[in-house]
Amino acid sequence: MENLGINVQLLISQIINFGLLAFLLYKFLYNPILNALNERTRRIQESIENAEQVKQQLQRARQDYDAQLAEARREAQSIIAQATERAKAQEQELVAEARERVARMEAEARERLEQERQQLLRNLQSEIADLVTRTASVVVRQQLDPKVHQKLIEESIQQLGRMN
Amino acid sequence: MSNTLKKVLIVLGVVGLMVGSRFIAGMDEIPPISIAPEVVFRVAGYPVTNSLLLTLLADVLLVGLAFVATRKLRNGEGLVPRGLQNFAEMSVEGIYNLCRSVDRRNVDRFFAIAATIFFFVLFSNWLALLPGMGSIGVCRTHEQALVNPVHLEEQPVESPLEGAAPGEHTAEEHAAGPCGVDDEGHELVLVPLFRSPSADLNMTLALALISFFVTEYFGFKAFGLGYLGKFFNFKEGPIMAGVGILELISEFVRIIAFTFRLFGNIFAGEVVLLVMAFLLPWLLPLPFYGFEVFVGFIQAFIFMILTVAFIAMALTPHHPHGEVHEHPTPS
Repeated sequence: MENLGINVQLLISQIINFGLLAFLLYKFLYNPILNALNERTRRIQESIENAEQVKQQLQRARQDYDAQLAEARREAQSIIAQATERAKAQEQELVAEARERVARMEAEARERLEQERQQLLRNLQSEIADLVTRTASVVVRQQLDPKVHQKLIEESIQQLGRMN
Repeated sequence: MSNTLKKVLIVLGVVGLMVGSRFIAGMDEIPPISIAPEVVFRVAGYPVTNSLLLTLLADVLLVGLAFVATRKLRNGEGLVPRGLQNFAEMSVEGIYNLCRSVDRRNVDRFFAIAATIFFFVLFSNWLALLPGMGSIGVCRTHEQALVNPVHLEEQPVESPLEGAAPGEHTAEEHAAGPCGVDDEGHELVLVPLFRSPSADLNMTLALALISFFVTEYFGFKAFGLGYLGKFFNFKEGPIMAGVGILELISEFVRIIAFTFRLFGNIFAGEVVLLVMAFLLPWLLPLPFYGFEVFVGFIQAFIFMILTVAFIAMALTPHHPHGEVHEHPTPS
């Protein structure tokens, strides 16, 4: 042992030295570094989780946005459809009204025409009758033959009837 | 053709230079190789050896580097690592992950010891490879350089024999070094200021004892006296009893294996470097230096990983009805 240089004092020194070194390195090297590594791991995990959360939020926001967009689009479409429908109904109404008015006007016109015709006819009859009477009187004054007279009156009346 | 000739000439030139260095810068004789560390000086009888000096140097360097590397971290900053801190984190994390891969549950309990073994052995191995570590020294007499000074007290008594002694010594160690002879005619030897602590059995034995006691401490702490059941196992027949005894023996053999594995590798490396430098001082030692750098690393790694493995084994529950424990023999 002694020839190998083993010396109790030196051996104990080395053991103490190692213990001290281990303590100092633990304090100044391992502990700070391992703590920092753990801290870093924690932070990275946290930021990854945060990123995940943000991503989810973004996704949710996008979904909301999409939903709202679809809603708006649907609403717009329904509004357009309603408007179209209303316009169509209005158009039909208008057309019907116009047609009705036209029909009424036509009927009125026809009625008035008829009345005027009747009036005219009546006027005409009386006038003709008057005329005939005057003509007849003129004729009669010249050549009064009851037979001819009668015949003339009948002819006149027939002609009137044909005219009618 | 001329290219080949050029190559041949270059090779011949290098070889010639190497061989020539033997005559230009060669040593007359291999410096004395000592298994024991040499005492540089004594403080009140306490031998301060050259390996102890390098141990202290390694301590100072390690703690200093650690202090500088983690300064920001200890101030609560530096979550973004830079430079030295980055390197320190990489090393510590690498060792930590390695230890964790061996024993996930108990890694925090033994990590500090394992990592300190690695860093300390690595630094002491590599520092000893720096130029000047084995060559710069002080002149001491043989007796002064001895760690265990058997004859130190007797030296004054011996001095009357001085007349005969110097002649004998000079004949024996004719070219021991550039130190010559002291006033009393004693041969002086060059004691290097630094020597690798791993080439000193005091340090390797100290580490081996620490490794051993830490292992047993964890074993007893985890299982109480039941830990001994691993070694004294007479309930499962004679085979298991024999295995238990073998385990007990191997537990103690580990101390010796640890001690001499590290010592042998590093000490042999130093001798090889010395011999190569003696044979051809230029270029020849270079590949061996590279190899010693590798050996220095690998021995530090082995010391650490074996300690971790033994601690992990001690912390593994012993199955009374289980199979025989795998027990890798340290090599």
